[in-house]
Amino acid sequence: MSRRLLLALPLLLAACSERPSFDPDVVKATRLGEGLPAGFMLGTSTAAHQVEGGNENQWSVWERGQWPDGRPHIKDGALSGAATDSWNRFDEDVRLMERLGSNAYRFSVEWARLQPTPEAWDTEALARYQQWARTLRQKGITPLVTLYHFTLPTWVADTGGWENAATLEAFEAYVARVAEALGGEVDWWCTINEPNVYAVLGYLEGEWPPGKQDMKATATVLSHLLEAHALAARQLRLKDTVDADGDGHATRVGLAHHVRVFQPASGTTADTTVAALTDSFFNESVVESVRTGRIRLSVPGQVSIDREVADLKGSIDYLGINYYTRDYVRQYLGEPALSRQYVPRGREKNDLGWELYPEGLYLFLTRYAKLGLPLMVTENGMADHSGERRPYFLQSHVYAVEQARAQGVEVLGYFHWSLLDNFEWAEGYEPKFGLFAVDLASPEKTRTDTPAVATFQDIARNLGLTPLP
Amino acid sequence: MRSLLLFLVLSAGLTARAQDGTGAVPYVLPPRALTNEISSSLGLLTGGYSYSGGSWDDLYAASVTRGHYLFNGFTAEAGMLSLTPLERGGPKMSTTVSVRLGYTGVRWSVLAGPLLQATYPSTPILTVLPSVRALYQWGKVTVDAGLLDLVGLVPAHVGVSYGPVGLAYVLPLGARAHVRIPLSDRAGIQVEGFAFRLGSAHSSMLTVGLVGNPQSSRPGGAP
Repeated sequence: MSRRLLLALPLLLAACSERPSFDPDVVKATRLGEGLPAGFMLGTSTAAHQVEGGNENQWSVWERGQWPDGRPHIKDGALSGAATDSWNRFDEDVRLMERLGSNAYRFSVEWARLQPTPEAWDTEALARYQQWARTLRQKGITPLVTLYHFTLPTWVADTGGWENAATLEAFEAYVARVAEALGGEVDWWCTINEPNVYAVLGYLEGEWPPGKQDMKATATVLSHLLEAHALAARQLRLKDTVDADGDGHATRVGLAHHVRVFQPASGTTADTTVAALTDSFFNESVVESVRTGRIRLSVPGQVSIDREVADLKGSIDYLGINYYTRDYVRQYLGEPALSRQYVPRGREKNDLGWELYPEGLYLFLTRYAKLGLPLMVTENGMADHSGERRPYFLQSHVYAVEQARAQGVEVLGYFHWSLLDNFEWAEGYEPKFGLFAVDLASPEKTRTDTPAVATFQDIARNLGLTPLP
Repeated sequence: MRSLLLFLVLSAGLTARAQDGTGAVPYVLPPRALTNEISSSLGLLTGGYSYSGGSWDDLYAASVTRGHYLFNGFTAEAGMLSLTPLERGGPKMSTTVSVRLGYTGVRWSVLAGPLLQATYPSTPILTVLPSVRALYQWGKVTVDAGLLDLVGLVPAHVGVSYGPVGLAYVLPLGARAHVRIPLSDRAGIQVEGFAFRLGSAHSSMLTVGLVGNPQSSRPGGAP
């Protein structure tokens, strides 16, 4: 290698690392929505346990529990309880969607509600979900149904949950039943929500049920969730043969993959290596598994899984991306993950301390475009108690979607998290993610506009949609 | 044992007196595998990780200052690395200090010690890792190996040097090289670089600087 080439190498690498710069003035001056195509899905997301109320599952059991030092499992000691009572206020919620001008809604069905015991099926609950999907379609709102969003029936959790391979069979049977019932109204399916988050928070960091800190169990659960996705995709294609929206596809199957930008804290080899390891496990392994049909999970010295899974390859028609933030990664041998993640002082953050980094969404969309599959932003939002900062958050992230589309990335939709303030898992009710605030103390669970409603409506209008007054 | 120590002390005194030029036999320093050395370099480092179809890269200005000093065979080595990110809004500046102690014989040297790596603001601010380096010499040819060498930047390497030129294999996939261009008997320009992959992580660096060999005030430490 000549000396000239050696000198040029770092400069060439620097040129390759060019990233988009999101000037707030440019973002605010853009007529957002005009850069999106007709038929683009602009909607909101929720999950059953977070909004329905009245669910009894492994999460509600966990909510009533405590850590060994007496602290409640949920930060503010809250129980999900009645949540936003969306189980009984669905029509009211649909009205909110119409006011936004949204044309799509992502919600989940609650396995524990539908199958409270191995033998029992709640046909009334199943009929209600079916009616929800029908109502949405009649209102011009495309339903996107999530089959598993973090909660298990207690009878499944009690036998080992996702650590137990027998759960796969039970899940497949549940999916088949839901697909049969809802297939006539639903084409867009999301099998599993954030398998990596569930595995890491429940089995590595131990903040969620079952509260374990076990790298091997983490990898086992993640691999079982990916296998469950493949089984679900197969059942959906078998049982849902009705093209509800007449677009030529009876099923459009995906999973919602939670992604985070992992920024090496510094240029040292140690920090760079642990950031790479974290990215590989958290961001890359799920996508590589569905791309290749082979689950490969490896953490040096701790776990190694390498196995082919039937029907996993080709199991998705789109990749859902749940994007919120960027984490800085610092090598630290005292943690099971060999690192600590944090956000440095001085960065703009949401109420949960997550950095606001819209460029990250652009980076992931362009990154996963190389899969050759359509992408969908299935979640993106911010905890903002005042609601004052959410409008720019929404603008900057829709801008990121438009920038990605301008680069030729096929992004089919954007679902804002969330329609309503809701139960934010271990964080309780304190974080406020809703476009509509909810007065949880009021018997009517009164919904109120936040400033971002007007922002969403502007985007909808620019997209050619019509928010209702 | 006490008489052996007394004999060694007296012997050292006699050999030291032989250096003053009045004696008939000039003192000849025993050669060692390392000589006193100090160097300071500046350059660029890129680091990041790859994924299917792309990569995440950050660019840094790198400053490396290192030196080792021999007290007879006992050897102390210190190094300081500063990495300053060249883009705003990304990683933070870091400083790494390595202190290694060991022994250098006629043909070999072994040094080991901690790396203290600080980044601010970060969590944790300070981390500690071990570092080790060993070498063996045959004439002008030196074979060396190390873990977290070059102030922690090179994960593991095995290399060979011939006079002023050195080349090393960096595990699991990479290379490291250095060359010293002499300016005088005791000073030169040093060009040093590496590039490697470790899993999906990758890093490369190129630095240019000055290297010198200060004259020792103690027997056994001069070039």
